Amino acid sequence: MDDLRSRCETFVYDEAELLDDGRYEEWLDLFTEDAVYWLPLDTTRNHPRDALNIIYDDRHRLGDRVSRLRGGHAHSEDPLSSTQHLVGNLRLLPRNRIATLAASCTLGDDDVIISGRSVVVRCRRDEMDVLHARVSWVLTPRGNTFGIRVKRVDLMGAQQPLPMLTFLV
Amino acid sequence: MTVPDADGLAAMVRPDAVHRDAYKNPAVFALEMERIFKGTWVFVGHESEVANPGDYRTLRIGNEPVIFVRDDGGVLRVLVNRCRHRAATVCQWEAGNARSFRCEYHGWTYRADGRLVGVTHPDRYDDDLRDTRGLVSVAKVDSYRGLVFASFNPQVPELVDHLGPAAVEYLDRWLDHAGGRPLVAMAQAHRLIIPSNWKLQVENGLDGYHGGFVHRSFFNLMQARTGKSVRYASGLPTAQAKAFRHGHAAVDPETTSRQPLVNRIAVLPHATELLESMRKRVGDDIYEGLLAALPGPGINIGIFPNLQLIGIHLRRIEPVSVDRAVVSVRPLLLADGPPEFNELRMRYHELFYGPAGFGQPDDIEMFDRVDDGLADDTDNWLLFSRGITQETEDGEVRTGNVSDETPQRAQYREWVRLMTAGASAADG
Repeated sequence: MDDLRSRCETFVYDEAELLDDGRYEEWLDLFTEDAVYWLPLDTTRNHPRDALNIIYDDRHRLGDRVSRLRGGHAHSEDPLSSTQHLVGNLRLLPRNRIATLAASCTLGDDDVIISGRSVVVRCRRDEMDVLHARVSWVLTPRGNTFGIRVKRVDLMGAQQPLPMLTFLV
Repeated sequence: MTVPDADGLAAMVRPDAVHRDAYKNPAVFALEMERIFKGTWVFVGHESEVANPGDYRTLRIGNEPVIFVRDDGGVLRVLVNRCRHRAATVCQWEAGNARSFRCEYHGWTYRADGRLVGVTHPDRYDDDLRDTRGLVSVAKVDSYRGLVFASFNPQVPELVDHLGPAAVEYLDRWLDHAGGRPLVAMAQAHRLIIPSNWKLQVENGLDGYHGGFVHRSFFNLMQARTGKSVRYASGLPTAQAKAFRHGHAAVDPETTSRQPLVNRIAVLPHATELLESMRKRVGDDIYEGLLAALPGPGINIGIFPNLQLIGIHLRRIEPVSVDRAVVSVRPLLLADGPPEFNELRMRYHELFYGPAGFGQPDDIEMFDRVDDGLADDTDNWLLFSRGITQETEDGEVRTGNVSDETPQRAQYREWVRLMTAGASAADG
């Protein structure tokens, strides 16, 4: 169990490093074909499809999100934001928590739910934003590491007026 | 900066240009809150946001904190969110349902229609305050087909006259875009910080010139995903920009085709499965009509000063300070629509709008850049001359090419009218 936990922790730290190093294509490759990347507006929800979301990406739209950053015409990311993701308070959650986190996801036998808190600092031009969130991942074994089936980011103040979230949270 | 008089305010708007002071002078902003936001009709919300007695939403009209509420008798009210004792707000939530509003400072209680029904320990007052100290009701509240407006100015014309027949015709076209099926506002809305003067959003929502440039990355993505070429409205000779009375306006690329909008549906998450299921549910004929309605009417409408109908959403603009505003974009769904339709509508909206959409953030980036550029005072004028000699006039309606600044010129004519009408009354 400790080994699983430490492998999961290493994985999400590595994920944060890819984002903060601007290695977006490698980050995208972490996601499985059936992946969901979800920032709910209403963080009490367990299901993204019948609600308005800040982000509800399938793998295609997540790919579009990354390619928009690279295309050179996404003015809100020209120049690109730099970010720093600080991830902590990580713990593995029991499998039945999927019902409240992402009810549309059917867990595979070896899938793992890990959840924690993040502080995301974003810097662009002469401004700096700080976001706080609870982050949950559904990870599925892939070789000797994992793939991301669900990444759910519950922003603090998700329903308050927000700055642009054009970078990857 | 000095407080401008009526002549100074009028001089900020030329027929073809607007002075930077209109965007940068805090004294002008203070006058706008008084003379525009307390001088004319201001959009507060859709009646379906407060569908049941006691439902409320808090917002601001200019600087005024207000509660938009449906009272026990079903009447829509807009009440000032301020206790008549010592000014504390009586409602702390963005939205909810309440039988009454209680000021927790000294326990005064008001009903949803604003009546003061409870004063704690009243024996220390000589009079019964309940008759005279109800929450202040905003002078006028009226609605047009579910769009609710309020005005602090009891002298405003009737709402329908304020809107005028030409804007009403466009509103009808927009609101009937799903074949007349009733629309309902979502409880949820995207709310975004605008790091600039509020009028940049007013201008931009009716700007048919910028799309191909600001949203180039979006159009490139859609082209790559759908395999269909996307010609944006500003390159279309028959698409129109319209200006109506009182600064209301529309951009109308629908005179060409909505097909490019419908094409986007295919890229939405679960589109194939949802479209199939919807076709089975409603049958081929109704399906085709729903598909065409899904992306909305393809017309942008602006009701000056703070409402825009764009895509499938109602956009409400709230000024905060001279260089900050908040905009909310609230999608409309079909009240009794097939669930597949409404799910795809939400996905369609999320694609472009909201803080993480693929379109709206690029607009807001431009507002930020304008705000930075406005630091300059060597030029001082923002140019709005596009199409000025080529637009046509028919009664109170002006029509230009979709990329003309016909709407913006109308917005600033209304801005001058409101800003100087208040000034002359005050001076006289």
